[in-house]
Amino acid sequence: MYRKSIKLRIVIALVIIVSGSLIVSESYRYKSTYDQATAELNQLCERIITRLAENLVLPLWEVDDNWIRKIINAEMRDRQVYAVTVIGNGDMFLGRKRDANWEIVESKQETDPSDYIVHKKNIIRDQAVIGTVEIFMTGKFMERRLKQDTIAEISITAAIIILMIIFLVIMLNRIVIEPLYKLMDAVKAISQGKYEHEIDASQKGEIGMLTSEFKFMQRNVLLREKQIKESQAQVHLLLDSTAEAIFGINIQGDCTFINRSCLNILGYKDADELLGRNMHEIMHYRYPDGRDYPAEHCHISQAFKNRKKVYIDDEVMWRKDGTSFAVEYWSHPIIQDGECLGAVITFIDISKRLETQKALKESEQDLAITLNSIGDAVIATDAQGRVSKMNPVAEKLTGWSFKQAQDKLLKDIFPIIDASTRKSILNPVEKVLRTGETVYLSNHTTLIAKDGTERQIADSAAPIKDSDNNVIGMVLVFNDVTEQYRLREQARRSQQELHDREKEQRDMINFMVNAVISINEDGIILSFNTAAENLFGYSLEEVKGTNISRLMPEPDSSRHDGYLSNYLKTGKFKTIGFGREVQGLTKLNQIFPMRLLVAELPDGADGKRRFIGSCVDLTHEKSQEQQLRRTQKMNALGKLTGGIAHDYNNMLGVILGYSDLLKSKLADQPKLVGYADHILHASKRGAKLTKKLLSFSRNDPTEATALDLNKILLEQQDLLQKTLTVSIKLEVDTADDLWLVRLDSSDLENAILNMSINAMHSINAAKNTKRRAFTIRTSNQVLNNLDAFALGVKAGDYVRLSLTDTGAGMDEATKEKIFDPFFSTKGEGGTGLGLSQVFGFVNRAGGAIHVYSEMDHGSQFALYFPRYRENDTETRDDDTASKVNFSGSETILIVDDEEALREFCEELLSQEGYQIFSAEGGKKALEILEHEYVDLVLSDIIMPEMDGYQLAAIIQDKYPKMKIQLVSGFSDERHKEIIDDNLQESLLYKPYSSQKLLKTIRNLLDTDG
Amino acid sequence: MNQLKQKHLFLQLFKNAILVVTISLLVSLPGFAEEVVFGANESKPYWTSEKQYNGMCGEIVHAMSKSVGLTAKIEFSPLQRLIDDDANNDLGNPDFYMKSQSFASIIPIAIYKASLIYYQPHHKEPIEIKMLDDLKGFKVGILKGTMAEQSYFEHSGIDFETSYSQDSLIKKMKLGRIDLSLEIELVAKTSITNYFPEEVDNFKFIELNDADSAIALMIAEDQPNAMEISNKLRSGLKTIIENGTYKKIVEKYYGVGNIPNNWFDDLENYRLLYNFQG
Repeated sequence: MYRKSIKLRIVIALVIIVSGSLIVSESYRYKSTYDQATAELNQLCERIITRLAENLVLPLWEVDDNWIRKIINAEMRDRQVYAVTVIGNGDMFLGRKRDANWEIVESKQETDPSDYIVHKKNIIRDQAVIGTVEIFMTGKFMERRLKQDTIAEISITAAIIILMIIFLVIMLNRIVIEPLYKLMDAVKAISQGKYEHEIDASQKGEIGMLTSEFKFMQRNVLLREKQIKESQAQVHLLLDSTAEAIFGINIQGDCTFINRSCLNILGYKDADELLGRNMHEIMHYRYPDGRDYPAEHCHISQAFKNRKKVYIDDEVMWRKDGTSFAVEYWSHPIIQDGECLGAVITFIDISKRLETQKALKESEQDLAITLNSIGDAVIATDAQGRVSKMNPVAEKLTGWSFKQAQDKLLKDIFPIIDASTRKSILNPVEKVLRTGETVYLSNHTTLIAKDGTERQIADSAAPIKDSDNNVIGMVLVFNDVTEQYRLREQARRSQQELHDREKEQRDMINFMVNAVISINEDGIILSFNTAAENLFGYSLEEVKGTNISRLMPEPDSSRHDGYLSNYLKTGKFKTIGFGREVQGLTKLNQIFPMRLLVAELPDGADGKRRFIGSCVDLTHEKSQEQQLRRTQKMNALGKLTGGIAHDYNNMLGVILGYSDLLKSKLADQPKLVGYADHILHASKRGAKLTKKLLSFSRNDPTEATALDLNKILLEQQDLLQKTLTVSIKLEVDTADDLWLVRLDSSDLENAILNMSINAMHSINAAKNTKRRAFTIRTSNQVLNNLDAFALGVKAGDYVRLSLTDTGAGMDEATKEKIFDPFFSTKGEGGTGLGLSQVFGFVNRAGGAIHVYSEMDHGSQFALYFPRYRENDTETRDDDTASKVNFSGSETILIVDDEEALREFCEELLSQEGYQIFSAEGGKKALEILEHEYVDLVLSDIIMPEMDGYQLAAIIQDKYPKMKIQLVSGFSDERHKEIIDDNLQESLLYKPYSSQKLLKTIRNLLDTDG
Repeated sequence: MNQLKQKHLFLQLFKNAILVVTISLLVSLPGFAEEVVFGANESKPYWTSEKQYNGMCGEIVHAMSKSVGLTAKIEFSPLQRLIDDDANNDLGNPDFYMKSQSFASIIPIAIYKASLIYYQPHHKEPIEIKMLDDLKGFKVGILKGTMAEQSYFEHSGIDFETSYSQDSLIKKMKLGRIDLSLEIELVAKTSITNYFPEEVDNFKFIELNDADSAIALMIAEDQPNAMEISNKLRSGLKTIIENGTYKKIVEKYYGVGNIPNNWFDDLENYRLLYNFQG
């Protein structure tokens, strides 16, 4: 009955559900597919009609029925299109439809639209409707296809469902029904007490799990049966095994059970002696003091009377032999289903414990006396860090009484901070309790008492351990070290101040500009500051402990110990208390001048006398002095040679001028012209010689132009190499991006050539020179104040041109004189003007020369030229320019004390048509100007009584419109401040050519103002 | 000066229209020795694949070939293909074929004439066209692909509309979509008779001067035995003219006694012209 019921119900339910689902889903699917297909058909219809409406525009406009027919036929290739009609001009233009065989035929009539999907569209050309097209689509093919698909699908699905149901029934039988019946049989057997009935648990899945649970239940039932039996036995065993005495009584107070301990304590051998008897009457009948203990007052019976547990620890119980013993007992009511059945009494003999407590109390009293007697503060805590003991010293230092502190956490009554940082310090209690180790506080611990008093303390905290080594508390011992701490801090600060002072002194010495060295009476170096390290090139470590004599050249080095010894004996030492110029010796064996100032220090710790010396490097100072001396000498020589050159120039001017005139007058006599040329040539050579004489002392800016030194060098390189000959290697090393300089290029070329020739002579004169080379190098240099001071120029940007030879070198005496005019090391072979010319040229350019030379090694001349920053272009006067017309009719006053030169100018300018007045001096010139109108005054500068500058100043004052041209063979700067810069800059130098004079005058007359 | 220019353009327009027919007569290659294959386009009644002898010109070609022992075969390409072919966009240039192709010979076999046609019921007054300016205000229909210098005409204010067939031009004119149509006279008459037999008289023809042209056979230069075939065909044409066959064929389409004046003189002139050019 059951078997049929389960299976049948499942199968029927399945059939109903599956069939219902199938019908519903297929109906829904058919409906949705039909709707979708209809929509698609409509869309297709719309697409075709749209296409037709577009494609038919032209054929319909062209009234071309064949064309229209072809287009319609093309669209009707889709057999769902039943008919297409085209209306033109209101009438049916063309129609195509299907016949009974579904072939395309001509249609003359309009089609009934009821059975078809019909779409209609206007045919539009140029926004005008020229006709309409109508399409009829049949849905019968679509419906037929849908029905076929649905039937096929239902058939397949039904067949699958039937197969599934058959399979399901078989599986139900095998997996569910049969195992269930087996389980039912097993349950029946177990219920009949046949616990060993075998249950087949080979099934898997839920049935398998159910079977397993059944088997598990079977095992549990068996196990529990066994456990109940064992439990009963164990309870008895447990009661007998426990040390506590346990017995039970019913509500009448009669014994219901009793354990072995209870029997032993009470002195009975067998439980039967007590079971069923009133226990109060047997073992609880008197108070400890011997009074009778009535049963109605018995606390044991209170438990079931009040239904509450009772605990008593101040009563006694009585043994069988009539003796008593102190007990503590618990009486628990036995309540079952709300009814009190009796009580279980548990008791312990506490006689020994009471004795121990008494002894402990006595011990604590002793401990308290001890603690109170200790000089250090002592605080004890329990395992939670709560104060349990505290002696009077601790009370005093913390400000807490024991009563106040008891049971408080130690950290609350013992706040400590770091004396230096004033930040809280971790209380030792936590660490001691956690680690079980002794902890010592740092030296800087400050305890803040309850009233805020701060005390420095030293302390330690140690754990209190029981016999099993468990930490049960902590004892903290500490004392007041405030005074000791104060003294210690004072000492530390003193030490720090001393250290700081020493450091300051050391820094002062180290940062002094001057080198400072201290020595003892043996000459041993004790200190050596940073400036000394820089000056001598030694580090402190290298020289400390060594003799000071290593810093001196011979002979001072050898003699120094003697000097010192003498002083120690006589107290006389030239250097003590005075600055003295001596020579120092660097680590690189370079000797340099320095000023030494020595003072005696107090004796050292070892009792030896000490001295301190201050050294000032005089290298730059000496160099500057040398430069100054040289400049002064050059100025003096310049004035001397300049004076001579002036006279020479006047004479040469006359010779040059008349030679020119003579040449122009003798144009038809070539031989005589040749003679005149010789005179001219010799005069020009003479002029060049005087120019050289003047060049080292004259300030002549007119020839200077902006130059690139590298370019000049490279242009001159071939010439220099030829000059040096092939035996000497010329090396030219030019710097990139070299700054411009403002120089007279011919002066520069002459200077380089002069020094190259000197270098060649020096190299050739050198002995054992392996390397024969002359190196020219350019570089940009920024001179700081110190370097510039040493060179005698202003600090700033300079271009450095160095010329280095590997020649014989020079001694100091030669170096002193090399720039002097007429000084030569070549005897008759040299003019002695080469380097003086270079010196004048460099000075004129605002630069400087530095000479470095070592005997048998070579020399280096370093020329420094100021950087030129402006981009102005300059042109030079070119008196070789072709002769042009410089004539004029203006009036010119010539002023010159040199009669021959004055006459030459008169002759030359008259020939060019100018009106000429002449005067031999300034006074005469001014007289002429008072009576005569003059356009231009041509005046010499150096004249007796009144020089050219003074005359020009008066003329500018009286006749501001008058033009002035100054002429000189030598520039004397005595009065130049009284004339304007233009006159100074346009100065015409003697000797000049007639062309240059005429051109200068003409140009000046032609300028405005 | 302006009139001269207009006249020239007018003629240019006609020649373009004529050229369509000329091209339709382009001779294709003979397939083998005794059979000559020609290519042509549908241009009823001159050329048609529907009738037994391929229209008036088709009959002439068959007759002249037969008279000299040749068999002529005419393959028709639709006019649409010609129009859609980009190479024909420059049809307005009369020298186009001459310049791009070389022919062994060009043999004129007939004359055709272009006219302007209008449908009288749509117009209150008769239309007179003598100059290009006279076309202003009318919508003029013309066969697609035969229009040259369209931009010039548009600039001149003349509204042209092209059609894909000569039948369409007639039909559109009847519906009032165009006012005038420029067509080959004989072609237009055939079309009117075919579509509107009861309204033949309502279609009016405006004669144009210098609007005639030749319908010629053009034998490709690379045709084997091209000169031999040409000579034979010339001989055949001469034969059928002389024996009256030619006249009968022409009258069949124009009507007895209705052959246009100067037909044979014009044919001789074109023979001389293309004989020289060819």
